[in-house]
Amino acid sequence: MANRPSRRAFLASGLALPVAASANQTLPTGGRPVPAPPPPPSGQMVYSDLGRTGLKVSRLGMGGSAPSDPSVLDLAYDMGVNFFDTARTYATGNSERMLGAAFKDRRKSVVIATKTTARTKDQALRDLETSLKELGSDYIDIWHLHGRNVPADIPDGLFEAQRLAKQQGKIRFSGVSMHFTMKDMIRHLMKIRRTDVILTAYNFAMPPEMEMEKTLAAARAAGIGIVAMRTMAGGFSGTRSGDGPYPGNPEALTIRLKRPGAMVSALKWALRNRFVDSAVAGVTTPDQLTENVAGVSAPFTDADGKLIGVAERAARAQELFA
Amino acid sequence: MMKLIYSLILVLAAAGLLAAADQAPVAACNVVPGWSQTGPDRSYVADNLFEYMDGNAEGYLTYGFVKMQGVTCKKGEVTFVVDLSDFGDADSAYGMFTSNVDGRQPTQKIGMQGQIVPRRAFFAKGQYFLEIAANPEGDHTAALKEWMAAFDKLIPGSTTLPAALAWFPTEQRQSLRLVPKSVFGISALKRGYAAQYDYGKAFVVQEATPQSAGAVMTRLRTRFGATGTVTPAEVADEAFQATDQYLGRLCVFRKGQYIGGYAITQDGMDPIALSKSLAGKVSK
Repeated sequence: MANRPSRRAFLASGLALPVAASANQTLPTGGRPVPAPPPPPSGQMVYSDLGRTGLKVSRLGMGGSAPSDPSVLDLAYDMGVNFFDTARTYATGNSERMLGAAFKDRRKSVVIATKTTARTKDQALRDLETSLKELGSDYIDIWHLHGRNVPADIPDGLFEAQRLAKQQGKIRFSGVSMHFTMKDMIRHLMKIRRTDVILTAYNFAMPPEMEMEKTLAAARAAGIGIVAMRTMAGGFSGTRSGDGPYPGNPEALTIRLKRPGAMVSALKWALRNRFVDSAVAGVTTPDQLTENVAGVSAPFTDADGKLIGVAERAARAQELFA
Repeated sequence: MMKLIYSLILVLAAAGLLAAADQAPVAACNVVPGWSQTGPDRSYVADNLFEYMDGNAEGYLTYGFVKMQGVTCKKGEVTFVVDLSDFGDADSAYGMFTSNVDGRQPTQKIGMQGQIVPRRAFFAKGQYFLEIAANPEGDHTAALKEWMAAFDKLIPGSTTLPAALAWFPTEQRQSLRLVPKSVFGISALKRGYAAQYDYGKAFVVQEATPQSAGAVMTRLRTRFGATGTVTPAEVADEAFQATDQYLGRLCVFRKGQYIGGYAITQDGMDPIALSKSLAGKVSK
């Protein structure tokens, strides 16, 4: 355990930044897209600017209620993952505790997002104090309002709690997470301009009428950092109708996702969209992690499309891939 | 005539059995006097739990969640959100308990085991997992104790803890949980108990047969051999020691259909000695 591989030193030294910077050369400049850079070598982590936050996040983030073992977090870090997503409610706080214990000695080299389900300002601020304690940190990088699908889910008091927390240095950036009716919610957040980052369900199984591509492009133009979740359409724990509106039946989707390599193809599908800064995925084993990291650096191809059964042509996908 | 009577008795007996099987416990506000229900009943299955629990639903699903029924109860300004989940079997329900328990807080003998903290209480009994979240901010321990006791009487099922729990030493233990898949992050170790200690961690996984456990041992030797040296150790039926970059100094043993061992990250502790002690407690 004493001899950690050089990946940590590499990240800590800031040498990763040129890689991160290069990942962003395709962001719109004055409304004109610039050519995409060549894909990075297979298996190498890619980094993005998270909207206008200035945070450099790995395009693959780790999420989910808890990994099977803390050692998986160590491995993820050594493979270049620097973005970890949790929530106050996950496993009644055990998820935050595990994350806090894993990164207590290297807090500054990771980006941690957590969330509150509170419905009032006071509750939210109390949740924040608990999250800080459980994470063993005096700040949280991104503090999300958890699972807000319609504007009424966010009374002004919650935005005020985020503003206060930011002012006090307890959080760096404010966020909102959502699973349903993203089009309306994201447009609402763009309009009121109080959100730095969104964490949104986004996957290949979503029908075109949800207008996710258009909505995410608009959010990017507004400078909002975009993190995707549920990219595998619930595949790890079985596809469920509650994971989002699917055009087909969940059973058929589950069959597709059981094809070897389909999970990674689903992840690649989400990351092919250059407006998605990072995609968080739940991981339980080193094998899954290795596959996902390889997927991050590879373009979405016709073969991927066939595997997950998307109608969209890979050529169209390549236009969006960054 | 007698045939008809016997047939009638059989039909009635079968109907009685079916009715008994259908008597699943129900979360209701009148379980404790003085409380009344606010809002509608909640009911979820694996397909739609996500709508209620958000990302936290994953934790339930990995433990084999079957269904949930819940109510919100009110007394004065206090509300209790009560949810009763069915996990299909006692092992999975207890697993759910272990994933939620705060290892720094004491547990109570409610059902198999429970925990009560100022704003939250939960316990596992048989195949059921009962949880209550209290609002507003404050210490609701007394009322939560009353509710836990009432549901302990109402919910059927075993109150016996899984035997494996007694195998793990308690000194310097931070947590002990049922890992539903990939114990220690290793896919070959499908499902089992893992304990976190100040100095490292221990695990026990049960395979179907000694033969299948032997096959897993072979896979583990190959896995750890790929990145380091694997040497035999004298523990139980078969064992080896190795060093892993992330897990530390390891000893893994097989005793019958069980695979167990230690991964040590602190100097001064011997994984082989600890594994011998653990293997001695594992009953085939």
